[in-house]
Amino acid sequence: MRLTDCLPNQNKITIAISGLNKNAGKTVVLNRLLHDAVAINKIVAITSIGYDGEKTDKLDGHQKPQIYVPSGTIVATASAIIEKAGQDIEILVATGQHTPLGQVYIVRYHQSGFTEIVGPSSLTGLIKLKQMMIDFADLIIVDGALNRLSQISPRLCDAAFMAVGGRGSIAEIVEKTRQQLSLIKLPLAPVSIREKVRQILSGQDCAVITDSQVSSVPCPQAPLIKTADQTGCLIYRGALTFSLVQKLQTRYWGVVVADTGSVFITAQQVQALAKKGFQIFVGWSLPLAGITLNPNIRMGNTLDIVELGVKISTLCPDLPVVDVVSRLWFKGGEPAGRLE
Amino acid sequence: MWSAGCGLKEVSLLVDWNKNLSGDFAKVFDLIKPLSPYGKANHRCFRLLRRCQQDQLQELFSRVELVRSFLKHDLKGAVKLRRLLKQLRKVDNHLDQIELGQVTDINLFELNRCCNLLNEITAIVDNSVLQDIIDTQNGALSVVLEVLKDGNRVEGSFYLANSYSQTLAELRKQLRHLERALISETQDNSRRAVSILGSQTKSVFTVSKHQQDIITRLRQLDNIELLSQTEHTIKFRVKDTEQIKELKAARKNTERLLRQHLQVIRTELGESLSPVLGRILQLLKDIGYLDTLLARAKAANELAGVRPEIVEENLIEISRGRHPILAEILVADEADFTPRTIRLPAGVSLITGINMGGKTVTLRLIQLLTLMVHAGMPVPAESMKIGLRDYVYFSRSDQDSILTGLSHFGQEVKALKTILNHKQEFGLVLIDEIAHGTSPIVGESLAIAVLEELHRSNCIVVVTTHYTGITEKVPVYEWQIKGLNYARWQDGNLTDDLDIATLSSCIDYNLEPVTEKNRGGSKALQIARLLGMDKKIVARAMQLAEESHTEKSLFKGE
Repeated sequence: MRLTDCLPNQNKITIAISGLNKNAGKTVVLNRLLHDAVAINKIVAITSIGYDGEKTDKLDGHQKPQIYVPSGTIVATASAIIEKAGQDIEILVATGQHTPLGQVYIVRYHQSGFTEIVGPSSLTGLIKLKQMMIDFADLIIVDGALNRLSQISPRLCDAAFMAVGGRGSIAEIVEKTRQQLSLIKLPLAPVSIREKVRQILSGQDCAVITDSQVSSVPCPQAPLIKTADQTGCLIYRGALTFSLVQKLQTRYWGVVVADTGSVFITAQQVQALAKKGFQIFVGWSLPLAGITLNPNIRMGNTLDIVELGVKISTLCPDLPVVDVVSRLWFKGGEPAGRLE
Repeated sequence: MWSAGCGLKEVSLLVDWNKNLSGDFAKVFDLIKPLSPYGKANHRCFRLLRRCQQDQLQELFSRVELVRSFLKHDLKGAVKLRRLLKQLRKVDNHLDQIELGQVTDINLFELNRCCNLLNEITAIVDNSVLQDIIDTQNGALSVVLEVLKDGNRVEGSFYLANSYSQTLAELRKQLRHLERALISETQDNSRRAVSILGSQTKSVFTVSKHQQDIITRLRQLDNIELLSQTEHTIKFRVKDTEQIKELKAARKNTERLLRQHLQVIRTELGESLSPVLGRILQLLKDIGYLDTLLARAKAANELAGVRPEIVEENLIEISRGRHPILAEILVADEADFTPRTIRLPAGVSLITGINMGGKTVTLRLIQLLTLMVHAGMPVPAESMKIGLRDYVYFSRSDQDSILTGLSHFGQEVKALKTILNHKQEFGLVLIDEIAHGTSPIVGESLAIAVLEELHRSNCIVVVTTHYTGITEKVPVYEWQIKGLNYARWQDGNLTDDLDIATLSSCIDYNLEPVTEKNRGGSKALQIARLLGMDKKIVARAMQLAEESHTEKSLFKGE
C-alpha cells in the first residue's frame, strides 16, 4: 500500500495534513506523499498555512526535516524564498496574496531539491490559492500549521491526514487522539434538514430551525434570540466558543456549525453539554483519510510503534494508521503490513 | 501638470484648496476611481487647478469629453481596457532592482507580465480616439517584449528557457542525466535491502525492533551499516558506492554551475533591459493618467455632468444645477431635489427666504459645482458658465473650533478680515447667515459694513441672511427662495403639526430674483405653527412682532 491509496481518488484532489501538536511529523508525511504521488505519475502542488520547510524550528531551535521536491513539482511560496533559493524554476502565477515574506507566487520546480513553502494563513486565502493551483496539478497538498483543525475544513480539502505523536507517552497520545477523533466524529445534521442547513451555512446569515419553520437571522443577533421552551436549533456560521455555547444552551436545544474546524471547545465540554441535552451537529464531516504516527519523541527516545499503532488503530478501526518512517501500517486494531 | 502654485499670495486660510475641502466635494471627488496603481497614484497627486491654469483646465475637460465619447462608442474596448487596467500591478521596485543589476526571476516575471498587459492596453489605445491623449509609441515596450519573448510561456508564466543559452541547455541536460543515473545506481545499490524490507527505501531507513528477522538479515548485508538505535527502533543506512559518491559530487557541481549560469543570464537580460526601463515607467505613468481620465469620464457619466463654459467674465451662472449628494439622500426619502438656477455677477448676491427653504443648500451647491469645475469635473447641471476663481471660501453657520478656541463668530471675523485683504482677487465667498453669532443690531451693522466693501470687489460673494436692513444700505443682487406653496398646502387638506417630509412637499425651493412685487416677508411664525408649535405661543409671538415697528413692516404684505 502507498499513502496515496488512502485517498478517495487521485485526480484534482486537495489533501491537508494537520498535526495534533508540534513535532507530530507533518513534514515527513508531506515528503512521503510527494514521493508516492511521483511514483504513480501524478503532478503535485504543495503549499502551507504560513511558513514551513525551514531547517530549524523557529520556536524551539530543533532541527526539522526539510521538504524535498522532485523536478516538476508545483510550489506556492513567497518571493523572499524564491529569490534566496536561486533555483531553476518557472514562475507561473503571482497570487496577489501577501505574507511577511512577500507575495505568494506559484512556481514550478525544474530541478529536484529542498524547498521552503509559504502560504496564506487564512482559510479563505488558502481556498483561493487552491483554486489557482488546481490548474497545474493532480494533487494539492496543504501542509498544516501547529494544532489547527480549521485547515482540514471540507471547504478546503477533499482528504486529510492527521499526524499524531512526537510528544508524550503512548497513553497521552492515545487519549489526545481519542478526544480529537470524538470532535471529528461530531454527528452530521439530520438528513431531513441537511441540505437546507448546508444552504444556510454557505450563505451570509444564520438561521433558527423549529419544528415548523426555518427563520433567517443575522449572525451577531443569533446567540441572543430565545426560542420558546428551547424548541429551536441554531444554524451558526461562526466559531463555536465556550462562552458562546454557554449563551446558546439556555436558548436552543442544539447548534449546527459548518464543520469541526469551527468547534473551539474540548471533547469533554462537548460530552458535558450532551449530558445536559444540548447537541452539536456539523454541516459537513471532515474527510479524514488516515492517521499518521510519529513515535520519535524528543531527546532521541522513541515509542513502541507497534503498541502505539495498534492502540490508535483501535480508536478508529476503519481508518489506516501509518508510520511513514518505519513504513508499518495498521488497520482494525492490528498491524496490516508495510508500505510499498 | 497637477501642482498648483501660480502666484497666489500666502493666505493661510485660502492658499491650499486641497486642505479642508468640503465634505460634499470630497464625496463627489471620491466617485473618481482609477483601477490601476498608477492611476491611483496619479489621482492622489491631483490638485485643484486655479484661475491662472485655465489652459490646463480646458485641456483636461477636452480630454475627459474625448474619453466619454470613447466610452459611448467603443463599449467593448472600454470593458477590455478596464479589465486590463485592473490587472496592472506596481512594478517600480522590480524595475529598480533590474537597473541595479540585482535581477531575479520574479523581477523578470513581473516585468514580462506588465509589458504583456501594456501591449494589450496600447493596442486598444492606438486603435481608438484615445491615441490623441497619450503617446504609446516610445519604443520601449517592443524592446522588452523581444528580450523576454523566449521566457514567455503559456498564460503569462515566465521561465529562463534553454533558447537563452546553449550552455544553459547543456547544463540542464547534464543534470537530468546525472539524476537519472543516480536514481538507477541507488536503486541497484539498495536492491538487496529492498528485497529484505519488501518495499522501496531511501538510503537511510528505520526498522522496528519487532521485526527481528528483518534486522538479522539486514545486518548480514555488507553495504548496510547501523546508524543508530533506540529502545524500539534501529536506523540503518545503505552505504554509497564509489560510483554513487562520484555521481553525487558531479550533480552537486552541475547544480552549482547551473545556478551560476542562470544568474549570468538574468544579469545579461537585465543589461539589455536597463536602457528602456525609464521609458517603460513613463509609459506606465501615462497609462495611469489615462486610467484617471477613464475614471473621470465614468464619474461624469454617473452624474450626468456637462462641460462647464469657462468665460473671461467675472460671473457664475448655473442653470438647473443639482447637488448629487443631497439628491441621493432625498431619493432614499422618496423626494426629489429641486434644481437651482442662479446668476452671480461680481459683488454681493443676497439669498433670502423662509426657514428650511434651502438657502444653505444653494450655497453648498454653488460651492460644490465651482470646486468641481476647478477639479476638471463635468458638473451636474443643464449648463454652467464660470469665470475661474482664485479661491473658494465658505463660512457655514454651524462651524466653530474647539481646537483654536474660536467661536463661529470669531472664526468668521478672522476669515472676513483675510478676505477683505484680498478683495481684489477673484474669490468665491459664501457666507451662511452672516454675522449672526452676535446681537442682531450689531451683527446687521457689521454685515452691512463688510458687504459694502465686498460689493465693490472682484469677489463673487453669496450671502444668506435674515437681516432685512442690508438691502436698504447695499445695492446687492437679491434672490429669494419662492417659499411656501399655499395652494399645495390647502389642496392636500393638510393640518398643523406636519412632519418635516410633508412640510418639505409644501415648499417651492426654486430661486427667483427679488423685485418690489414679489418680495416676501418672514414666514418663521407660520413655519413654527405648521411644525406643531403651541398655538398660544405662536399667537403671543405674532402680537409681540406686531408691537415692534420693524416686525410690523415685515407683516404688512400678508
